[in-house]
Amino acid sequence: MLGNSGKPISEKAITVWRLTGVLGTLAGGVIIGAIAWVLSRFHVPEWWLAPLAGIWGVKAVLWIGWLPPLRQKRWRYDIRDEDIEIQHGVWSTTWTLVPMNRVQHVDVRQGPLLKRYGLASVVIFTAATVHEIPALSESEAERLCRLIAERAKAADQDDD
Amino acid sequence: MMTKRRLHPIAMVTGVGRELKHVLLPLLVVVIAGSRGDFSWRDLVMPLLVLAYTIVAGVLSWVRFKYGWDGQTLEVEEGLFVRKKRTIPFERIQGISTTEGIWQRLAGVVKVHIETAGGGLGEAEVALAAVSREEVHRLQREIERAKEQAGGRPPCEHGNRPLSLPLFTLSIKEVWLAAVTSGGAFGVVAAVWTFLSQLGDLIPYEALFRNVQTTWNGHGRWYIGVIGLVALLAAYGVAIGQNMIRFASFAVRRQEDTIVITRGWLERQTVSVPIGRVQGVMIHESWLRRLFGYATVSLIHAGGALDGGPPGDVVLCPLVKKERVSSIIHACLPEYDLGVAFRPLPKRAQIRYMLRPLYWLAAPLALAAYIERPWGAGLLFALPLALWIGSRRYQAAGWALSSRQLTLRSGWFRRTTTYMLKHRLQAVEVAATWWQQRKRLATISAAVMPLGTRARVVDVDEEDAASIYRWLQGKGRNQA
Repeated sequence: MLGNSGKPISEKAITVWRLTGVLGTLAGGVIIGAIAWVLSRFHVPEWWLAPLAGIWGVKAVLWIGWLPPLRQKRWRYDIRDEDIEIQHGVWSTTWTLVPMNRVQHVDVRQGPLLKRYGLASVVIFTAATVHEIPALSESEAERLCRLIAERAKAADQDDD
Repeated sequence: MMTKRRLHPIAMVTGVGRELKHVLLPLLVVVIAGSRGDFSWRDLVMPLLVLAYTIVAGVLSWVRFKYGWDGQTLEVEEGLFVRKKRTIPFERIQGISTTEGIWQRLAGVVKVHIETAGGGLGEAEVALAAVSREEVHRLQREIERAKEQAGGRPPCEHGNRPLSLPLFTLSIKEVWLAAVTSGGAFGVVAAVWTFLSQLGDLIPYEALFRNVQTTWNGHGRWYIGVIGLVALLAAYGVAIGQNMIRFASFAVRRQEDTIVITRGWLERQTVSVPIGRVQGVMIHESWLRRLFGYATVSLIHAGGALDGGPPGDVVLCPLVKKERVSSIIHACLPEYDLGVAFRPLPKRAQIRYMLRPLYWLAAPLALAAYIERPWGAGLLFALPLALWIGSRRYQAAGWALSSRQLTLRSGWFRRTTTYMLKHRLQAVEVAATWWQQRKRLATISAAVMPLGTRARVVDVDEEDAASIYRWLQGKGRNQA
């Protein structure tokens, strides 16, 4: 219906998301370990750790192996003269349209993981909503940020 | 030059009164719980100290509170221990609302709330507890003048404008009906409950509970039931009373570019909403009120919580006959068109609407029915009921699109219709899960100011959702 247009985000996003997945899985493992330790102190039968570990394993496979490439493939963005279009989502596809003259300000954000891979995210604020384009190359993020800010200003003058 | 002024001394009384209200109940509990049967003067030392502190603090904070303005900014200084000085540029002020409590009325002054752009960080809100009417008018005129200079609009004559005829008022009967059907009783019950649960340490709940249990097991089931019912009715009565006081002498006027809402009986409140700041119109119809042919109209407003409700929501008509809504809105906000023809959802969405409540109802209901056999099987009658409600929700949902306005409607218990102008929409979102895509359906949602205000309709035809999306996309000249 709304098609599959726009530019993809950086392919390094997959690596970053995989790493995030690994970190999340490790954290989950620590929590499960802690639960197991507490339970063992209270002599609770151990069999019911199995489903917990199972969920943990499935989640790990999903978040490290399966989801990152799909997510990267589904992310699309398009910055046009009058609006910004963002498309994302694996299970549920979401198309977001932000008219250019509603943009209030634009941020470039970079966490330690993104920085390690030379990536950055662009975050777009309107008066009522926040939209993110994750994991662009640093130069592209800078360029988009300036482009959007400029076009938002131009569109604002056209308005009313 | 800015001259610093103090509030009218009545502000001391209202300030101390407000603080006392906060400490009164805890103090009472402490005295009662601490006295353990026999009364002694020592039990009164603590409360008296607290009382004295409250009064002294109230007087001192009145002394420390100073305000003033010049042609550009409003300045407020306050703080007993930590001094705080706040400067607000006039152009940033979004609205002024005034309230008159009983004390303020005795002294012939008003309480002024000053609202700046809401929703964002750095939101500032200032309340001047007791200011004379003339001074409020002067402040308002100064603000308007500053805004006109900034906005380049030609200044218009102000002075003492005569009150225009109200566009909407509530009759006594309607005030009563609004209060009875407002469902505020649940709010009162919840408030009482949270209050009691906070006192958990002081009240011997366990003993109380044991008493209740023995009574229950004995002959007193009816007795407890009746007490519970009476308590609930009392809470309902209190809610009705509160709402009647709130909705009494409700009137909506239009003064040039501002909608002025006045209301309240013991405490009179005036809320001014500049028409340019209105972001949308919402019509709520709870099923109870729909039965009587009534609806509630509120405005989505970019400022903060102007009338003490949720932020961004100002009640324009607490209760109004459905057929009158269109003319009232037309008089207040001529840009909005309420006579739109709603497009229903496609037939294939109906089964999804009907099944949706079952996803989370079926398992617990079946379990409960199994455990409470055989009578629990009666619970299964809830399933067809859920199907029926789902199909009502399906029928209620709809949308309408004109060249300048998007209208979305959803809900059944509380059917909400949101009218939004194109140039107020901040973003539009179309989402489709895998299941929805298989049935060529999508969820459409539209966001307006303030933050987090969005209207949503689930399971619109895919092509319709796309057409709404493209409608916002602009004047047709898109390049990839």
